[in-house]
Amino acid sequence: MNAMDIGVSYDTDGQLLSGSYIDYCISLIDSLTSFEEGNAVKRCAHNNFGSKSCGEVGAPLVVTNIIVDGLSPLGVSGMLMPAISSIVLEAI
Amino acid sequence: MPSVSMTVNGNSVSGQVENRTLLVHFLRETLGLTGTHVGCDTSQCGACCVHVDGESIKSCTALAVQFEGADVTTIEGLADGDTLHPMQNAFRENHGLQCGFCTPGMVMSAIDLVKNNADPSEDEIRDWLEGNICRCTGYHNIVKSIKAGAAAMKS
Repeated sequence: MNAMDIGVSYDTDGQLLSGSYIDYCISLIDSLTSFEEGNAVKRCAHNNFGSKSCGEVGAPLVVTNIIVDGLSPLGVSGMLMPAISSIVLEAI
Repeated sequence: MPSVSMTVNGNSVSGQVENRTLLVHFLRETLGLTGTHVGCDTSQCGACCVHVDGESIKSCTALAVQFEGADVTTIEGLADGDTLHPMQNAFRENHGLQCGFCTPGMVMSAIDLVKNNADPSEDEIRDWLEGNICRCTGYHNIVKSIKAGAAAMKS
């Protein structure tokens, strides 16, 4: 998952560095705990229809916001993805 | 080439195999049972899980000739005619699959779990399935499916 494990990175020539399963972290079943599901429906503000285009995946943002919320007592107000230990530590 | 005989889904089968033929290739290519999948070929992803003498194994890292006389069950052997196995039905009811590639392995592994632990907790399910990978990352519903499947297998 983009939020937790996979850092999408490119070299200076624009070559994707995490394109194969050798350097691409696959989420395992213990990567996340179980959670309650819910929907937050929000219209897109940038067109008259309120429709969103393909690929506007909200889940990574939700997961990252959960982590930021949990770390807010430590003064964390934002964080880059993925939430690997070095990035979380830097945010703190 | 050596020959090997075993029981697969209740049927006696035999075939000529090379010494190096893996159980999964015997099932898929010799017997045409393509429900058992090859995902990684290195015993990590669990898509190839089948039951041998009642226990789940990864058939991509087992040689066919090892299983002379064994009793093998694959995903094709679970349903009773048109009636799905309770665990298969639970995956269906709980949206426990998206692309479906990992599903045969997930179901076979889950049934072995429930045989050992009739009422597994979420943590126990997640612990048991550490050797099964779902690239759609549908683990949340897979855990739900297995909870429901375990309950259905009791009744």
